[in-house]
Amino acid sequence: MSLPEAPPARPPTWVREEVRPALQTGRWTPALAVACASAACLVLLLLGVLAGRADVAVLGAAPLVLAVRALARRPAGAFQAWFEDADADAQPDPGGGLRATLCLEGPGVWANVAVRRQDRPGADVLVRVRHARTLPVVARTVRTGPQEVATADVQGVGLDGASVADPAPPVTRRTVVLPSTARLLDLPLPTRLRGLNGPHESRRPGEGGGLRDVHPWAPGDRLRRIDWRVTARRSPDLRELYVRREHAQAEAVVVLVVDSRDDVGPDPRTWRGALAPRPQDATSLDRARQAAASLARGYLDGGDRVGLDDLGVRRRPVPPGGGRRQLDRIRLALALTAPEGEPAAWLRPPRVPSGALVVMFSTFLDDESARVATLWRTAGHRVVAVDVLPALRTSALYDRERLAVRLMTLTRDDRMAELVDQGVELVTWRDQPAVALRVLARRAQRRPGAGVPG
Amino acid sequence: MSVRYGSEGLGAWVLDRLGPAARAPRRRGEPPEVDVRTGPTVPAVTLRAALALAGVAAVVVAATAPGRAVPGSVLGLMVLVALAPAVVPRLPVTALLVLVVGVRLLLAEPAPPLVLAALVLLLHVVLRLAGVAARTGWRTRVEVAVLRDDLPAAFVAQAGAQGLALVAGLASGADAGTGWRLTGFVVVLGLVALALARPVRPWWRSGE
Repeated sequence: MSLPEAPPARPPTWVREEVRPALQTGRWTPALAVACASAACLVLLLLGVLAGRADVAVLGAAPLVLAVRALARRPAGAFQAWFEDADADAQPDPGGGLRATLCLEGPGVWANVAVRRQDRPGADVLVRVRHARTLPVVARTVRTGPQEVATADVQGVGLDGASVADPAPPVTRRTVVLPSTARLLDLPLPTRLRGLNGPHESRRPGEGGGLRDVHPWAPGDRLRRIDWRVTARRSPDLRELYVRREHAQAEAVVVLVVDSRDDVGPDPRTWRGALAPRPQDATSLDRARQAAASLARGYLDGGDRVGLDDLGVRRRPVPPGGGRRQLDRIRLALALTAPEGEPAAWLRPPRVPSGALVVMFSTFLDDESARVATLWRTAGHRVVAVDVLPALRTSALYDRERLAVRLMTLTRDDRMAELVDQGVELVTWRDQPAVALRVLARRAQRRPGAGVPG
Repeated sequence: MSVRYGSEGLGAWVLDRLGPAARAPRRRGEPPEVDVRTGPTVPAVTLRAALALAGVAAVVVAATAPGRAVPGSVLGLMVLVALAPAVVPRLPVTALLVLVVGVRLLLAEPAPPLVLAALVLLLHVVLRLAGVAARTGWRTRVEVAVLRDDLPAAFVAQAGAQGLALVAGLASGADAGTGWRLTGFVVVLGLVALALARPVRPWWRSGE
């Protein structure tokens, strides 16, 4: 039996979105049940008077008086509902999830508020309003990307429930949740480093790195590089000077490639699309977003250059760049990454800078992503494949479905084994991805030349 | 293994024909996916149970009024009518309950003051709860503030009604005179006129 996975830590981040109240008629109508009950009290009063029975006449006296009072105070005017602007509730909910603020305003005293999310029913409450009120709305989800927080159906209710307003038009709050980043340890580097400065030591001669060799002084060498000890030992008469030469510093170029063609949850029954994945389950695309954002942060914090491409949709990639703003750019692009229609087949893999490290995030449920990764590897790139398929929950499946999942898993395992045979390094984004990435990074360091894969 | 229904049996066969939504995981005990944070609330089921209880109590008190005993079948029907507002509160069944109680009291001997006071209170509780229940579904949570809303006015009205009930109880022994009937008619006409001809700005609220 497979257990549900712990959701990834993800503080929700909001993107500003304007939400305005819709116009409405402001018509109030008497509630049928209450009006009829008041009429029955009036009938009792009449019957009691006609029959000379004071005890019958007073039976409904109190509700009748209150009904007349409620009728006299029947509200007039529109009852409005809207979600507060995103800036006002930008703080994440302490209990996790997404938070929005629903504002109610109108002449009623109560309001019936029914919230739903992606057409799945949520809470249904009858609250006291008295002209205006704000209500926090909390959606429990671990999903990232563009999504609906809640849709609220609101109806104003008059005094004692005697009258009801026309239902306010449904109001919806949508947002884009940016993926969070997890802190990683060491990260693998590409086969070749680029540039003349950066966080890594290259094999080229230069400055800033470790000792490369000791060489006779030549025109162009700086005098402060002269190693006087070596010079004294090798040339006591100072006919020749020796200088210490160092390795140059360089930066790595990393291209993150997200396969957005699949967005599957841990329950295989949801893969056909008829059932939606549970909001508490992170889908493969959520995991891909989180993994890519974490790696981007790790590389950018180290001073490397990171770019982003999408295997599922042909659009302009995020070119490699460095700095904090590049991380923001990548996180936003990741959040907006979603399956879009029928994905086009790639005749050639997307172009990546020469010598770049390619990190591909995919479920590897079909051959396309594996084929593209192999092509990159053949072209000489170091390729790391990150498997983002969640741990599957098969306990509730029928036998035939379990068999289908088993066949799919076997095919996928074969495909990934073949990838490893081709020289693609594999990481599973599940239990301890930071440790797996550190193993990859250290494996490369054991070989001559930093970042050269096996 | 069943030949007709396959290896998963009849249950799977039925669920397959009901569609994928029938196999959606049940979420009993789980909080709703999207929630609204309010003050203290009570479930609508509790409210409806209280409504049913008050309705049945009103019917039972009315049935035990002095006079000819109510047959068992009629009492059963009366209890059903008393339960109806809790089940279908949006339909005008509360009016039916009020009429049933009133007609029963009309057919019985004049009620003692204590019975009358209890009936006045119970019918008021039923009508107040029915007004709230009519705005709820089975899953609705009702804020306690809604139930407490405008409670002083309800207490004042109830106190007045109890005073009238006391007077009515005392007067029930005496023969009803023309003056009483005339007063009653004036009250009825006044209430009807007030309900039908609602001024745009009532004179009693002109000072607000």
